Amino acid sequence: MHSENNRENKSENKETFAEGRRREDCAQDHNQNHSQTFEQKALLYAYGELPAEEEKNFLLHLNGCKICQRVLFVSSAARASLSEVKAPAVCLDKILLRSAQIDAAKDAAAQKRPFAAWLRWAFKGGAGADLRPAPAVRLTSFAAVLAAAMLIFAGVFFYKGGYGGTKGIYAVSVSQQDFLNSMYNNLDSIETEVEGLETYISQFQ
Amino acid sequence: MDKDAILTDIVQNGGKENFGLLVNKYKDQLYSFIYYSVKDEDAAGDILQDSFLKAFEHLSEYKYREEGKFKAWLFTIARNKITDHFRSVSKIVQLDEEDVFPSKDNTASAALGNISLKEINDFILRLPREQGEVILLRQYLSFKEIAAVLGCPLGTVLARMSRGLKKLHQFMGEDYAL
Repeated sequence: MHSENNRENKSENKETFAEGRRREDCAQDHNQNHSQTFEQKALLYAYGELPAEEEKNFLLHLNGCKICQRVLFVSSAARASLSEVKAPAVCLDKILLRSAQIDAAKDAAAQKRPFAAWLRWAFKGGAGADLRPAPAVRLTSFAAVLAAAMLIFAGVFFYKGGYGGTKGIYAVSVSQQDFLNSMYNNLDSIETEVEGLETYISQFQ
Repeated sequence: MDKDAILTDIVQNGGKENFGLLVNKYKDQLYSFIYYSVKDEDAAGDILQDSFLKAFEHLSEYKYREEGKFKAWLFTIARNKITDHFRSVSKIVQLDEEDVFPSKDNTASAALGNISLKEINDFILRLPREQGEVILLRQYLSFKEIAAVLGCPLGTVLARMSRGLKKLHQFMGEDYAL
């Protein structure tokens, strides 16, 4: 009886040992080689995202791998526990209503502000009208600002040297200017040659 | 061009009523995600409405640039709203390991098979946010879409999921059902 018990214990121990080794091997396999890869594959497989060509290899691996089996089991339990909750009869009307309100507010704002603020200040009435100076003062100051702006523009324009040249607002670079000058010189020499030829031909006429 | 892309195109070009089709299509999924995240029916309803409203505003103001990714974009908006909600009510509580894992008695009873889906659900809701969030999101989005929502690489999403499931399994008991 005692020896039978011993034998049973031994066989149990052997099985436990073998199971342990298998787990160890599997864990080693996971830890050393592809632990993350296989766990990630298990996740992708659990949610139907593992590519078909990898499925067969994974299933072969899964057969002896407790870790991947655990991933599949726990993920299915998690999925089952998170059933979809019905949304309350929201919100569509409220959303459309709100959008209509937003549109209305935008339209109102657009109607309220047909001019830019400085134009309203110079020419039109509106909020704060009683705080503004008299129309003549406003128009004079508006004209003064306009004149100042034109003077500044004219100053810059003339400082830059007008339209052309190497400094003007349509300025060309020095090298471009050299090129143009040489072209003009060539044209001059061609004209001189043509005139000479014309004189020569006229002698025979 | 998928159905969502066509609908968003129509809404952007003035067919505002068609936004209702998008709302009806996604409201339950989005509400479930929000509800499980905030654990409060009223707040979840408000956040759902705000999320759709923001999506609608972006569409009507031509700010939507995520062609073909409407669903992921919608979940991104909802996730931002959830973050705002937690910020406003100062509910962000970093659970440490002792909070997350139940007492040994519970673990033992789980190992005996006395665990219900409700308990698993409760535990998912008590996982650290980034792990629980991935498990929740995977109910409605693919891993790639989750990566887009969270703005992180696919590998990170899978690693978070894996860590979350490991903790879940520890709660259920190491040998449970294996």
